[in-house]
Amino acid sequence: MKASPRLEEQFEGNALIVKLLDSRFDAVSAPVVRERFAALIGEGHHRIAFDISEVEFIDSSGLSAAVWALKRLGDDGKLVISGARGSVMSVLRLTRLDKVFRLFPNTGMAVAALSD
Amino acid sequence: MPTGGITLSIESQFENIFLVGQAINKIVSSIPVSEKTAFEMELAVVEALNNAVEHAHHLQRAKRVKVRVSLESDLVSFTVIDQGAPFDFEAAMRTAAIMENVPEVERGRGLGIIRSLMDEIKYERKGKANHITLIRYLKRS
Repeated sequence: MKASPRLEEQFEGNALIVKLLDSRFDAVSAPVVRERFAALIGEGHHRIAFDISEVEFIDSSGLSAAVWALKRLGDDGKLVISGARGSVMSVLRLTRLDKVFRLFPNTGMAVAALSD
Repeated sequence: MPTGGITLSIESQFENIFLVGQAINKIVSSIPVSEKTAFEMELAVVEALNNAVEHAHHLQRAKRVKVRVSLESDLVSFTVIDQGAPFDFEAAMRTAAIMENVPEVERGRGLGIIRSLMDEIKYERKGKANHITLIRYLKRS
């Protein structure tokens, strides 16, 4: 049995960095991530950098959780993705979500964009 | 390349899907195929398994999902076998094609991903089981 997905949260400036520490963002981890995003947005966090630099495998469930958070924030906030690489970036391009999310190579650039 | 086949079987729950995915990645890497192709095959099968667990079995753990992997000289095929109710495969494929043009959709992109990554997808109803076969042709060197 896989362990529950691990998330790390850290403030930088007026942005919150949420980092998924697991290598797979799939149907197991996606509901937990979505639930955490719901709580954070409910607490008033509206500028979020989602760091997926540790993720090596993403499927439609992971993508759905991220899209859900983006839509939940709507016009009231911003959610950007940082650290997507390799096959994860390929899936974002394949599904054309690279046009939906603002993508940054690292959290520094993501936080800078959120501070605009 | 080696030819042959193997059937993998798991209890129908999301927590087991990565086992099949990683096994498939290793199996097809031995053919060999590129790391990118191995990943794409793994992802396509994971998406088919996600659908089987959620939509065919409705998260009933007592059911099993099988994946028959077949290595042939010019192709690799994966047949995902579930015990769910029959469904309108053609309608599902049409919906997937439409969804591909709506990237911001929240759910329902799994079949579209499979369509994009595999060369053929076939559906058969055999007895009380759905057989969904994903085929990827291998490029000749």
